[in-house]
Amino acid sequence: MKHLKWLTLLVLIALFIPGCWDTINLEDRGFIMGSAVDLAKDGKEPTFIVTNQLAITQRLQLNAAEGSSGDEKPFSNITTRGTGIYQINDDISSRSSKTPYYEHMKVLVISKDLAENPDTLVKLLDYYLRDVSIRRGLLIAVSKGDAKSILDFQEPESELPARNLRMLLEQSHENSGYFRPFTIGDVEQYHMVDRSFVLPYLILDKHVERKGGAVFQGPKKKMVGTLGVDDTHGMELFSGKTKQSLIDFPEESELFGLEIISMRRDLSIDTSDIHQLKVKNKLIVEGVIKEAKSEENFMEQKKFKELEKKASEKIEKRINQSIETAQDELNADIFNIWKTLETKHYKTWKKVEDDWEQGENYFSKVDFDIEVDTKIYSSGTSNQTDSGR
Amino acid sequence: MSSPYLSKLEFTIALPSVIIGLSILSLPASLANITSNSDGWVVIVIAGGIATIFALLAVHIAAHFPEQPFFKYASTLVTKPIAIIIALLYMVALIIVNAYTTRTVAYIAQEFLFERTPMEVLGLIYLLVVIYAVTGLRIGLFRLNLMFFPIILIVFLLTGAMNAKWFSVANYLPLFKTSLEDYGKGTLEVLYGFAGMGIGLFYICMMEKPVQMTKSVLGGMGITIFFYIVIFLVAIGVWGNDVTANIRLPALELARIVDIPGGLFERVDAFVYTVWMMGVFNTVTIVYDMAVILWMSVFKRHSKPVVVFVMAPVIFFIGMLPKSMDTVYKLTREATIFTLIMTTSIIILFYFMIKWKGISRHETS
Repeated sequence: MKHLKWLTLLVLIALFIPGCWDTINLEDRGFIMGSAVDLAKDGKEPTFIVTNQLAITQRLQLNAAEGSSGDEKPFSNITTRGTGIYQINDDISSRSSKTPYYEHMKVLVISKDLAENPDTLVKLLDYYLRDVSIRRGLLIAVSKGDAKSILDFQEPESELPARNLRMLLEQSHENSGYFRPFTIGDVEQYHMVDRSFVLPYLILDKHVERKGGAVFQGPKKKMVGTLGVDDTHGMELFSGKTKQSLIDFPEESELFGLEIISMRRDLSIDTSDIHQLKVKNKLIVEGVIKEAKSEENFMEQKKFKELEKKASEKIEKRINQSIETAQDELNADIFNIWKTLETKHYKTWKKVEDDWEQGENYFSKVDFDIEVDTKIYSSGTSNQTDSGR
Repeated sequence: MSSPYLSKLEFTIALPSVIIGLSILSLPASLANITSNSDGWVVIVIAGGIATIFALLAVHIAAHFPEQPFFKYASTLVTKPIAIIIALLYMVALIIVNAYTTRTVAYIAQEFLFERTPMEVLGLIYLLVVIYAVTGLRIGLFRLNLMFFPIILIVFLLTGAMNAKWFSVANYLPLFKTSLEDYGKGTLEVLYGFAGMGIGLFYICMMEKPVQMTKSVLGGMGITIFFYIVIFLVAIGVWGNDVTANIRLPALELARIVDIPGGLFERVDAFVYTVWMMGVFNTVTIVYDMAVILWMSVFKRHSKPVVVFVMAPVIFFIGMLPKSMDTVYKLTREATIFTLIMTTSIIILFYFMIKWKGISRHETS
């Protein structure tokens, strides 16, 4: 009986030791902060060139302790190529002594060439969505040139390009009213129903800059063009969600800057004729004067009204321009009109769904009516009026 | 002071603890596959209502035979040979459900937590803990339920709340676009998730005065329905119908989106998996115990530890037999359907036997 007790204990110990099967010491993990994917131009099969950014944690600590004295970068970019992402990521293990660890991946950059290849983005995302360690919240952006060079570029004020990029994408949305950057989960959501969407467009000049948007057309399943800065702004204004976005408009050859503080939109669709749906978008904009280069007396009511009208006109013009681009050039519903149709006019939507951005092209025939009402309630701290408050 | 009897509160909590097991993981996906937009909640309410009726009937039947175990009153109602057949069939169904549940737990633990540990080892360790619980006093299982369930509820609700950032109300609209036929299909689908509602048949005999159980049953089933609806609506709000239908285990995926700022505690998913395993532990122990009760009522001379230890290798072996997880999902589903059919037909049969034989309720108070 005594032996039995010992035997049981031994068996139990043997069973619980496997807890250590999965130990990987923290310093042996290769934290992958971001990936950039390019398309190789040679070859018949689409070949991916994947650059993974590996954070070198020891150097990060070192630089923080000694105040960025080290010449050595706290990251290393490992570039590998192949036809499948899984195989490529497996190759990393043969190039680095560390075990790749994707849980903290911040951003995925794809090149314009890759995005313009039909169906390639879906194939690429399939891997990222299926993998258990990669999160759906991973942000995705399109780069003008090589995606790799974006990850190579180190801003002086930040240590890890991938982390910096994520901050850039998020901050530009929160502080400057740029449209919300898409996650790979969002992309899947739009892909699933074949609808168009816009991804942030990155340009590397002297800095990495977020400029405009890359438009993916739903039925074509590929990137069909870019939105310029003004058109992107028009799209953001249309959504009625942009905050702290700046409108500049000339007034008697002087430039005024109006910062949008809050915005409301009232979107209604007249569905009596499905061949010409009428979309009416009423926007109410509240803002403050940020820049006024002339010595104006803002106490004057008349002057105020005039400025408000000018601002409204400017906003309308900008939105109409972007509508034109979306309907005529891109044939892509970047304003998510389809969502309003689906939720509020389900029957009509079922009729036009299959021919929204292809075939009959119902979207490009939509008649837009934009109405903007601007209210300036303050001219900043120096010359305040009581008109709006 | 501890009483050997089951209290009303313990029974109330036991209902959701047993019912919410594996199904919570995949329920939003399988439901979103059938219904459109957010209509699934209607289906959950309908299926939940039906399950509640059966749960009430189960308690009602058992209340006719105070302090009599399942097999004893089954023999009175449908003669002993038939009772033996019912008991053995039911036991087999429970053992199979138990086996595949253990396998799924092992799989999820391996997939999300321990990449390199063999699945067999994870399954065995889990099963050993379950065996330890089942060999002990029966009332202990219910006390564990009472202890674990609030934790599970709170953690899952918090995970849902932390997803608020990704919510979009547009995903819920338009309402009520599901066809009547699909409502029917969905109801059947959700009913599988309620297969554990018959526990009243087995455990009412442990209560001192099984008289007024209606409130307890309604409470327990209410919590279950509420829980299912919340998880479903959160998943739809975050991803919309089409994506939810394509995610294998939406309830766990929700935990993976959460990103707590501050860096100290960025990821909560490992925590949620653990808590979920506590939930499945509740289910598995009770299901195991029910199988043991059935065995011991047919073969009266066997002692409890012997039965538990004989059953364990069988459960382990059946669970580890299928090669792929797809087979496991399919077999789990079939075993659950079988259990559901067994439970509902036993309840209906017994109910009519009572009516037919004209057995009156023993009012004890």
